[in-house]
Amino acid sequence: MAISRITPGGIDRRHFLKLAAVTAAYGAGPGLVARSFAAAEMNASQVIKGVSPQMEIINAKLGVMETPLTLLREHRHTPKELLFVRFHFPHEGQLAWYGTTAPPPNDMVRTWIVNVGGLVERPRRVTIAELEKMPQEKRVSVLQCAGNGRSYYAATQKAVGGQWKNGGMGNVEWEGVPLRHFLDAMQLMPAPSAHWLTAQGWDHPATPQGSDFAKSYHLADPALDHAILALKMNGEPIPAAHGGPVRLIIPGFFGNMNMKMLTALNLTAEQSASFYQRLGYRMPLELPADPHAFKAGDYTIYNSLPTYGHVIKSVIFSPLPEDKPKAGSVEITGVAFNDGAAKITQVSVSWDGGKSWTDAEIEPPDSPWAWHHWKVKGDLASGSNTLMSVATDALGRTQPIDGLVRWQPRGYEWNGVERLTITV
Amino acid sequence: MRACRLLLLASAFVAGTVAVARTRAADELPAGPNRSLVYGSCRSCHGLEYLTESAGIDRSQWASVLKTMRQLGMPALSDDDRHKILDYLGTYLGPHSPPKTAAGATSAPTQIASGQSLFKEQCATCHQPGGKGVPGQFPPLAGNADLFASHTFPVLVLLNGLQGAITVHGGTFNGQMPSFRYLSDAEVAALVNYVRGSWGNAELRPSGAAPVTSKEVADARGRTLSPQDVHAYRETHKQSD
Repeated sequence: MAISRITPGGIDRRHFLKLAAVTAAYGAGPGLVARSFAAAEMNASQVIKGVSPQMEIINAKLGVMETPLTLLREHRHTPKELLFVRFHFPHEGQLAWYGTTAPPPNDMVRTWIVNVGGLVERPRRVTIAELEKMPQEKRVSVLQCAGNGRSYYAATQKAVGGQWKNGGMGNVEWEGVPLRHFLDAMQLMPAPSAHWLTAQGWDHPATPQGSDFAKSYHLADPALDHAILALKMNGEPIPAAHGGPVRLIIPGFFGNMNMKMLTALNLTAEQSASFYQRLGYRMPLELPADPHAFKAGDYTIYNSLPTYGHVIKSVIFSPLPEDKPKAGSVEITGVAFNDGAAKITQVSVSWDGGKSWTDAEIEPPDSPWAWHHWKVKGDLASGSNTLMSVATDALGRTQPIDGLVRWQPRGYEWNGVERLTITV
Repeated sequence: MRACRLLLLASAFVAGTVAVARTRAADELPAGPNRSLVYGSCRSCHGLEYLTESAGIDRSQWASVLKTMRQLGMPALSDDDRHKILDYLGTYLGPHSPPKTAAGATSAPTQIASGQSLFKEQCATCHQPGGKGVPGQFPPLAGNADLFASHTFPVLVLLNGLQGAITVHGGTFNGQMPSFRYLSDAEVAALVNYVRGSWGNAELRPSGAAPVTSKEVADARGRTLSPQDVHAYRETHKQSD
């Protein structure tokens, strides 16, 4: 009856937990790393007020956490209590206010300013009240951490950073002012040399030496055509922990590109000098074949690109290990998504480890950037079953059968063909 | 081939053990030489989970991570400190089983570092060189009369942390000072005596006040307080507002 998620390399969790127990009892065998890290008496709702205590903590000081799939799959639009959280600086002291799913304090919202400027003749200062008076549009879009699925790269070599499973994503309804319309309405009169839009948020590094967080987008990027200055998330003012009172949402872009607590939009000639734009959150142009050939500190602005749009991906939501399905007929369900640039045309599912494949039925999505729910009738045999799913879009973009081919030292953009082992 | 399989198993294994503790925050690393230097260098900006979740990479890869951290704003390390940190990370959070370390091995170093070098490795990232602090973020230690709020107040802060709003020289601070309980009694005493004697702080010293002793630190260690308790203690003893 026991079922478990397969890890790359073919060792399932149940197996290595069993090994963990054995090594704990008898001491570590050669080559095995057995260690348990001391844990503080603190659950996720004490890290970020208002979130589900079942959220899995990835970094408490930075308020980083992911969602168990058993909870994530229950909601069409991921509620604020269950949406993953990723900050870059400790939410302590002056930054403590945003460690909550409540909206930002009223007096802060009242005095909030988005500075719009840079290489323009007429810089502007815009309040939340002014934004609220402008025409609003909705966007349903997947928000996904660029590190989502990083743990699955460990079969090649541990990629540094939080070991995310599949829970660093959610499907969210945002509402706000369309970016292009906003920039036009501001009548900024930009200089001809202004090719980039650089966004900054309210947060700041733990120490004065720390690099501040900023993101730059090329102004000609068609993804900006759909971007909004979001004021609402799932119909409510955006919770502080998810970037309120105003968050730049670029549908189809990885989470780090969607600037929380937006305070500045500058038209610039170059990308921001921030570490997070020039060195962090990037994919090497050439994927390293050898984990020692290219290391975490080897990224430059010339040998890598920012993690902009989502790579196409599918995730199995049911059955999960916790469901304990019986042998026989079973409905296999999940979601697929991409950057929204092309229609997702096919999700193929296998329940015999990839020997045979069946196309799943794809439900029409809320938007091109939203979760595409899919389902298919499958069959579980007694013994071990390997479930797999792979999505393809109209541009022919699909998922690598072995996601490890995209290994890089920081472990971003995992989109290997999804696999689950279920022992019935 | 077998070695390869074992390596594979090892990396998967680390992921597994980390996942077990996932609903809790990590607050301790495996005991080993120079662990306190790792704490002092890494905890200002992120939780220890960043290290535990990355565990399994080798020394050269940790070196590359340190380079990244430097780019992110980590203060420069001396070559000696850098090697000590990498030795720790490569050995205790590396690809192989860490060596068995006797309990207490980290708290009884053969040679006690000076208060000055301890300040640099444990305190200066936040409180800044010269103890001048950062407005709104980290209170100054230079000229901070709270250092003499009571004979043991700074010892209580180091052992238990401090959480709650405080005012120093008219500036408000509301951060979370973590506990430095991992330092030995002698190290805590050396740190407190160094800070109390530096940057003009000696002029604030009440006449006849003696240095803190290791014995006094050991006694204070026996009583665990919450960071909020230490804040309440400060409220009744404070000198600086």
